[in-house]
Amino acid sequence: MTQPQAISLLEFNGRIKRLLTDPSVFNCWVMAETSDVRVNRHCYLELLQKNPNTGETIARARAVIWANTFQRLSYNFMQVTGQPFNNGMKVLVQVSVNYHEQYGISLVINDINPEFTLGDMARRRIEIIQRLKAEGIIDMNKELEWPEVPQRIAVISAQGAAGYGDFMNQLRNNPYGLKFYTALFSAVMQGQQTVPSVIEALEKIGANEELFDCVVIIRGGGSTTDLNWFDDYTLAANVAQFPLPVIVGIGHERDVTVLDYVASQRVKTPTAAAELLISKGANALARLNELSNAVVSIARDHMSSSAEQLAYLSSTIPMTARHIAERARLQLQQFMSNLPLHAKSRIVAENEKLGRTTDRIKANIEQLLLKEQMRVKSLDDKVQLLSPRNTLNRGYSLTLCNGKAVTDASQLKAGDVITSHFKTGHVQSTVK
Amino acid sequence: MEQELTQLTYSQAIAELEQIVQKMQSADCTIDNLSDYTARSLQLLKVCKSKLTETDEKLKKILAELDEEK
Repeated sequence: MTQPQAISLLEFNGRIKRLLTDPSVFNCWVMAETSDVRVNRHCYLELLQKNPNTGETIARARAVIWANTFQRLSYNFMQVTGQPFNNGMKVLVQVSVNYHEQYGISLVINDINPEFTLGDMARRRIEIIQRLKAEGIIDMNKELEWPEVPQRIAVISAQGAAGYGDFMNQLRNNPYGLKFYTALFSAVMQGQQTVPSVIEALEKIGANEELFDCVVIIRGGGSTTDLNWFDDYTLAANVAQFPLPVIVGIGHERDVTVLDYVASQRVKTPTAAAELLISKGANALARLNELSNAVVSIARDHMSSSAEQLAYLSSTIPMTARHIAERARLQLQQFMSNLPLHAKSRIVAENEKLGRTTDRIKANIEQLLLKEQMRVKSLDDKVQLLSPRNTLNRGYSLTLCNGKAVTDASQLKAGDVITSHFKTGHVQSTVK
Repeated sequence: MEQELTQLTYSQAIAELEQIVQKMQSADCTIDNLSDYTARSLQLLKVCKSKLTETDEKLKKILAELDEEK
């Protein structure tokens, strides 16, 4: 077997290297996604292209940004996007291919267009927000009613984070003496684990929902923050639909994440989150003071107006009494001055009445006398008519025996002496 | 109205308090019920204030058990 003519690997790699001098692979703008970003003076990373539907990687290349370039580009990137140059970002980079016989192929990044990344982040955020809106859940947490004074607070933060310490100090040292009760549910607040870890903490709180008034999601500030991880649909949907009001304090001055759109309240820093809670308590205390002042002043007003009324009454009573006495006196005086006049007129009237009565009596007496006279005359006439003398005048005689009139002859016996009276004179006879 | 003070929640206490103050401000309030109203409202004020500024040890303990820092 004859040995085919061969070259060394180094020589072959040299041939590849010579092939890669074509201008089409020199300073070309490429869209890709970052991955495996490592900084060790120089910045090493992987550039990926994924199938937008399946997420499967369909192209991959190693890339490097030389230290002096990276210093300039990363600063500019941070200025524009507010984010450090990091994993999982859509980037527009100007690359040239670089082939090294020993290390193989890699892309050298000479420039980065941070506006592209910013636009992509904004677009992604807008997409998530629109989806939350379409599903009708974006305002759900904002519509929850806050308790009068939120005092029982579930905190989601990285354990030992400066921001958590600031938050706790602020609450503890509030100048109003308000008491807060907190429980920490620790979570990873940056990197790939952020979403599952924060959701897990939310679930733990949800299981003890009745113990808390609200949830506070905070993390320490600083320039190394990586807010990108919070622009996540699942996390935002969880926060939006959480049964307790949520305060989010994860950003800083310029940065807004999707969580800021769904949380009941958003603040810039953990300290501001604590201040928000303290101000709610302080408002409640102020209201209590107001009520307390109102109670005292109402009670005082009532007492003083009652006292005033009483004073008025006690001052008017003697005066009223005096008025009454005076009026009575005047009445009496008037009455007294009228008395003679009254008496005189009364006497005149009575006199007249008396005169009338006397006249009537006189008339009555006369009438009565006349009537009696008539009656006497009529009786006299009757007597005249019935008197025995009148009978005797007419020729009758009256026989008496022992002074009694004899009306029955059988009453007489022989020897009785009887007297017979006539119109004129009488005779005595003896019965035989 | 005469619910046990200790069993009142902050919301209940402040609601009753607001109601009483309203009554006190109205024409219905006479010197006869003034002292009842005043006494009750001062009690309620105390309850509300203590809920805000005095530590509820029972609650503190329950939440401490959930706290992962301890």
